[in-house]
Amino acid sequence: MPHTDKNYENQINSINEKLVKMGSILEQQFSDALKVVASRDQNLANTVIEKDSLINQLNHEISDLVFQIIAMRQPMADDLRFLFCSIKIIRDLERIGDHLTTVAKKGYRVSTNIPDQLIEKLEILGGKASLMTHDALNCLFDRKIADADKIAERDHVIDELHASFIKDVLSYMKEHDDFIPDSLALIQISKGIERIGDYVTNIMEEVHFLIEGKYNNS
Amino acid sequence: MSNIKKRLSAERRFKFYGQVGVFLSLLFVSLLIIKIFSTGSGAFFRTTIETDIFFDPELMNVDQNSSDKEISRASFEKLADGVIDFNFKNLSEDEFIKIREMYTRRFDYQLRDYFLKNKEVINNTVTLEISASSDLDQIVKGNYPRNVPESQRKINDYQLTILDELTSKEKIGSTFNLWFFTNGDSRDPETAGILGAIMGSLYALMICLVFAFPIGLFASVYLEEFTKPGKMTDLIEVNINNLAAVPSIVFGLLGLGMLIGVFNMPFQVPLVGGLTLGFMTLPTIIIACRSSLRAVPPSIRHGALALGATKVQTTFHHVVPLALPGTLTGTIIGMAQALGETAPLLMVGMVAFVMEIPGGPLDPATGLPSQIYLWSESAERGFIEKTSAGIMLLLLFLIVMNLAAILIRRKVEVKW
Amino acid sequence: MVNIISTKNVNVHYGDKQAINNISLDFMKNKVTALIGPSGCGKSTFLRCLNRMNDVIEICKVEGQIYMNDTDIYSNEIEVEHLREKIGMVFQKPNPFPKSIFDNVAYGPRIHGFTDKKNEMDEIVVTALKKAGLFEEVKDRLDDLGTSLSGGQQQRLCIARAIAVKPEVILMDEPCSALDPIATSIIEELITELKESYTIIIVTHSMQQAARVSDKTAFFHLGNLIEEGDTTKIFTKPDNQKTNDYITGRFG
Repeated sequence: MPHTDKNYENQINSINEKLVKMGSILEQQFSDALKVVASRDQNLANTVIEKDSLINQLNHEISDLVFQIIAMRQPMADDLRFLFCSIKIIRDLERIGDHLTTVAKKGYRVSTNIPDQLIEKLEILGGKASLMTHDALNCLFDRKIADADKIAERDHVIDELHASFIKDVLSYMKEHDDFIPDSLALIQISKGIERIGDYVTNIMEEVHFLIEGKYNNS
Repeated sequence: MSNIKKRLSAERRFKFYGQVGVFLSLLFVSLLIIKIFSTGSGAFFRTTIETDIFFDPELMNVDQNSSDKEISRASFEKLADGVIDFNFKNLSEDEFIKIREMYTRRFDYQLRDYFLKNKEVINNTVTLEISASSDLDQIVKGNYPRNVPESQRKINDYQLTILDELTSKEKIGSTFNLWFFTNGDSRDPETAGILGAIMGSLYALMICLVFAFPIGLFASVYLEEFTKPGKMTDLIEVNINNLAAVPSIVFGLLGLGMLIGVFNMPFQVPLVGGLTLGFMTLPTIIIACRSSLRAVPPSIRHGALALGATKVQTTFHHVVPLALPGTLTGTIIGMAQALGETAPLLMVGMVAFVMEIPGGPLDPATGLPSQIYLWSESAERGFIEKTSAGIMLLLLFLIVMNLAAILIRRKVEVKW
Repeated sequence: MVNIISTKNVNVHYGDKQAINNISLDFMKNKVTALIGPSGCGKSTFLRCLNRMNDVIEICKVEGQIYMNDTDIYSNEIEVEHLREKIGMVFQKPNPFPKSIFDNVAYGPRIHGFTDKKNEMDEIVVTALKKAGLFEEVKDRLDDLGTSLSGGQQQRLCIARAIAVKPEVILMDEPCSALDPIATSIIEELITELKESYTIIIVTHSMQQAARVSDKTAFFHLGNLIEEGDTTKIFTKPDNQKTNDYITGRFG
């Protein structure tokens, strides 16, 4: 049921739309960043880096709107929870954007000498994280609590994959001296992707609060 | 845009009509007042003849040692006759009679009243202003034409000659007619006064107030606050409203039939007149009181009830005091109406010639408007000015009562 | 945590029209309970059942059980005047009597025969005015007309008047709706102080007021009790969707 006050309804809808937009840009960024790692395409990397400003802009716009509504509308119940969570979620989304930028920055500088299996492993890690992010964003907009809790658990997988990748990179680095700058870059990329997983988990916690009115303490 | 001009000119025209209406009303009221005042003002003065009085003990049955009671009962007629002889020498019998007629018929009463206060004057001569007869009074005031044939005049030629003589000797004077305010009614216009009627009306109104106000107040309070709305209450309300419009003579019949016929109350007394007026005023008071009670906002009642006051406490501590200004105003206006009524009093006999001033509500009396009516019906010329004077007095009382209504209302009114 | 008033299966009809539909609601002692809901939902009607002010309305019929301190308030043994001494009421539009400030407060104690001694009555009046937060402003003019005060002061006078008869419960029917924001916040502050000594049940149109002032909130809709509970819960995560929609302004 919409709010009786049309302006208020429009404001809430506007925040929703901006969140959706932020989400869709991030998904695109994710897939582009991973492509950069695979293809080392500098132009694509620049595109990713530039697009990040869009995410920051949306962050500010949503933040302003939320601030205004709190001041003027005395939001209650589900509106209040939505606004409260939105502020935290946009922070996490913005950080995800920053990490994707880092992935792109580091990605195109990595040399072409890297063994394929490392790249493949990185791609699997990236793919899982990207899927987790995609599912998380859907969950945010659908507000399904069961999914939120399940998605949060997938972070363990991401963390394990990252740990394993680091091991592989380190052992390759031991055998190849000239690999150190690349390995540092690879580690940073993997770390970035792993952090994204953490932020997505945060977002799912907020969604839990949004739906239930309290945090999942289990 | 043109609409504005039309509307403004309509405004101006409307205001103009209003002003014209107000002006015309003021004009007519002024004419009425001028007419009444000019006719009635004469009643406040009476013509006197300066006469030397010799209190001849031989013509009197009493002396300075007699008691007041004896003096009141004694006849001063002979003394009065003696005074005329004393003042006008060598009169034929016919002339004597004519001169005696120039003095008030109450000549002897005037002498007696003077003697009562000044018993030591016996055997002495004093000069007193004795009232002229009504006919002479009217001639002097110019209400009777002089230049008509004798047969058409009340004053004959001989009397006119004496009058002119006395006038030239400056013995014809005019004094303030206090008798108008201190005497009761009389056959002789010059001595007729309005006090009897005023007292009669006063007693009647007092009885009316004492009867109608408490009953009216409590009946209204009961009907308005304590009865449940329903067909019965509606019926009562319709009946009361209709009673207010019933012609006053019907209440007179009620008084005649019930008070005098069934309860055998005395005829012609202010008690019965007052009760009859009370019946008539009761609906007015009830209507005024009920509408005042209705005007009190329910929030006052709720406030009191919510504190734990009973319905009776709420009504009498809060609602009735707030309704009092309106009720009092309605009551006083009802009294003013009752003051001016003749028809109900007619049926119970209070429209009749009563000479004595009533001492209480059980003495025979007449009312002020009735007195005016009786005077207006009289053949004597002297009563014309008395009628107008009576009307002036009645109007004065009505104005005073209405002013009192306004002042009392202002004083008792509480702002809420 | 004891219930001072408990109601069970309360139904109220105005003639043929049903205004309250089988409501059971309890009120805790020394707590502020707010009744909220859209216009015409029956909250004022329900409030008036508690001090039997609905008795004054001819066509109003109240059924069900209402207990105060375990006594049925509609039983024949209860004198309604005594009940109203125990349960006071403050109305939406301040309605001080057109008498002096002193007499306004003293009226209740007088008719209930608290005392005939002048100095005792003075003390009762002063205490009540102090408790209502009005004494300082009117102490020099206790003989002035109650109606000469400002709106907010008049309402505090009405509160003092209600307090003077030493009630246990104070019912407030939208007490601030006719007042400006400062006067409103003074009264809200007062309510928070008063709950130490009295149980307060307040009907309000303002959700924000209910959120600020009450410990418990009950949401009424079309004569039904939809939800009741701790105020914080009702305003952050109500159980019932209708409650949520009303609170967030999706209908009303």
